[in-house]
Amino acid sequence: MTYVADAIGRRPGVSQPSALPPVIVSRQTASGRVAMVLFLLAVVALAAMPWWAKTGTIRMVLELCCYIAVAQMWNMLAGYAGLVSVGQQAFMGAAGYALFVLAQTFGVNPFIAIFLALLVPLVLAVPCYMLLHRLDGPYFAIGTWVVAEVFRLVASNMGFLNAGAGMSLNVMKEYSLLERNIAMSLLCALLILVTIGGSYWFLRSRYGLALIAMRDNPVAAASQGVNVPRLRFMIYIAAAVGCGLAGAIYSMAQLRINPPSAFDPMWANVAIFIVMVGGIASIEGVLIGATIYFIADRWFGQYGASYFVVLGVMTVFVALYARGGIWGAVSKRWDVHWFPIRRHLIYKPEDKA
Amino acid sequence: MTYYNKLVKSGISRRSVLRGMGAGAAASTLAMPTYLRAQTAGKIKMAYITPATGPLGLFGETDGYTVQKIREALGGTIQAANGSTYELEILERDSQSNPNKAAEIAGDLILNEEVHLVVPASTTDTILPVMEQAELYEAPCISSGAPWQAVIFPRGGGDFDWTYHFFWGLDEALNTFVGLWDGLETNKKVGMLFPQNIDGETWGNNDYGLPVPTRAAGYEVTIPGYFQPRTNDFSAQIAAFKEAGVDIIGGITYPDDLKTFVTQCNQQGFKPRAVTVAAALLFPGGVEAMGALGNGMSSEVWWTPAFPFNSTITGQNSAALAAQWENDQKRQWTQPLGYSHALLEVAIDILKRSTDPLDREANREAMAATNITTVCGPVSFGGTPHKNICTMPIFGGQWVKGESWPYDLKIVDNSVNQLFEPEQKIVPIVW
Repeated sequence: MTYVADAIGRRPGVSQPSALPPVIVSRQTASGRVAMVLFLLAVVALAAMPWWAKTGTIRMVLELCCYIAVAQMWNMLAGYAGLVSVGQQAFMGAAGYALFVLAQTFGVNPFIAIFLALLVPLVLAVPCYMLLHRLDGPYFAIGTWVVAEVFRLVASNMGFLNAGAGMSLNVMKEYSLLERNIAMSLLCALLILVTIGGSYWFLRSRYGLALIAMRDNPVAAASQGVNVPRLRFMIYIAAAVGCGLAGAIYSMAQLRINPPSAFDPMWANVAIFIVMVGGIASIEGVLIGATIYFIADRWFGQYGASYFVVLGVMTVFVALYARGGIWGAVSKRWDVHWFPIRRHLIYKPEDKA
Repeated sequence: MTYYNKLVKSGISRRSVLRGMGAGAAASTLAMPTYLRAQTAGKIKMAYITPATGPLGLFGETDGYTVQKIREALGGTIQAANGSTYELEILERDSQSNPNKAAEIAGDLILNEEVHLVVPASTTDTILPVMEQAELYEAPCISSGAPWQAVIFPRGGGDFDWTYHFFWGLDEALNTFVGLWDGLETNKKVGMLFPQNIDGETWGNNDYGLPVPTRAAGYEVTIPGYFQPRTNDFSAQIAAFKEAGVDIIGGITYPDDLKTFVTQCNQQGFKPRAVTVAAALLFPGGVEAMGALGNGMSSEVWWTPAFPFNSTITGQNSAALAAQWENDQKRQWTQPLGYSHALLEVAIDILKRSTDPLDREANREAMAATNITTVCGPVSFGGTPHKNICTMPIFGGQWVKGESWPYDLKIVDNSVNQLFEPEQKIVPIVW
């Protein structure tokens, strides 16, 4: 196992003054570099879907991308910031509704409206967090659920949103199949780039270091000068917008929105399952968990209640006996991180001369 | 991602994996389907999406059963009008009563399985999202089991190309309610219960909902606002009804909510002479759950064994269908049974009449030209009241003490459709 200096070069190796041993801080690994290339290829492949995939495949990939995005946002909240939320669907639904109102009621191009719609979760997340941050642990979780329920109740009482009857996105018919496919593919690529790539970038930055310290022990991190409340606030807002983007893209594909489908608590279950089974506090875990959920849903979804029981039992089993999830078990055995975020100190005395 | 792409490209499915597992043992029988396929002109794929599980599972209960019966009756093939015989595969999927799931499944079946006809059965939550997908991706879609206004107006009204629906309309159901109340001696004051959801808002609408014909018939209407589905406190509503001196309760609720409401009415000493509610009183289970309080509840009737039409597939009449269900399931018949059967009758009839059942456009033309008498009554899309809609007969019914089951549903009003005489007269509730 050899480490070389950071290839990205944003934080190049630091030669220390003579009093300290000469070390190099390294974050990138060979597996990380390979995974980075594969990730970029995957994003390009997503964007190029109209040229290699059928409409049906694009639709399925879109669903998978939404699972990955929502799970990664939940992972950032629960895995790093210590904010266990079961109400992220509040922001998914809010952005979904914003898209429908802008596109259907005001006639904005839906593919532009999707980005304007992100302002809604952004703006709503601020007062929500002001209320929620006073709550701790399980109380915070219940609080987020209450927020999502309040959103649902408000939406089902607003005549402007067509109340309980919901809205349809008829404007999609004005675009040809190819246009819709291109737009959906680009949106998928963007969603993955923003949620996975963005999280990776964030975790490798200064904030990431603080976040990892906070994940391990918030009190100790605070004593080292990490501004824990501010960091949590940033993560909460970012997760709200990330979930909003996923929600808007998902409801655009669904063509219909109504309060129970927009603010579906199922999303919280899906995110928890994906992150717990895949491996909490790791991007790799989200990708693995999302793939498992996606395939399980396709193959066993028709078994209804018993299928959910199996998913639930799996989650509980993993939470009790394999807390790191699948990726936790893998990374214990082989040190081949796809998205390495750990810093390694490499002692190289020969460099000193 | 890469694993998934590989999966999609190679077209692996759970079924093919399972099939692969059993391939060794079944090697000899595997040759059979190929041999059969050689004789047919192709395989017709029909998507059948039903709420088999979830809160609306009761509506989908008869769907899976009926598909099984129809499969047996057809023997896996269809003789089309163009002279060819086709293999028929019915892809049954569970929407889990969830509109998101219904849309996902419909998109998958239309785009990936490339089905030739989409058949969403029962409830607005399943039918509406499927219709949207079918319309956008241009797949013929025939449905039943939701008041037609609820699947047309939320989509903006207008004419549709690919989605046709047959069921009674809200207006007729509403007139049935008024017909039921006209049969009773009351103070002509009606209190109404509507949940805050798509059905409640459609039924409670002041322009085309239940209040309109009720007021027109000279009744005084009290609506204490919409309630949240699955609430456990109706005190506010009951207080409002008491204050208005209401004699009749009308509206739409789910069984759980009605049970809570009626129990609390009894506890709080509010005793209306009639409780006429849509949806909740469709199923014997909903009535039985109320115990002794279930006696005398009234509701709209979609279909009962008293309907006089015969099935175009099995030749059975309605009474025989109900008897077969009770015999197979050891449970009382339910009203969606008739529509489960009628929907498949229409779907099979479309495929039979289509000039090319493997072509969506041809199936769409056959669908628009439908003219058939199902166990629930005649179905044809004549343009009224809407291009994509055929309205079906509806009656008023009352649950009374039963013979072989706790409660029986009797037809007590035929003011909307005079197909046949009511079985008996409506009686006030005895508290």
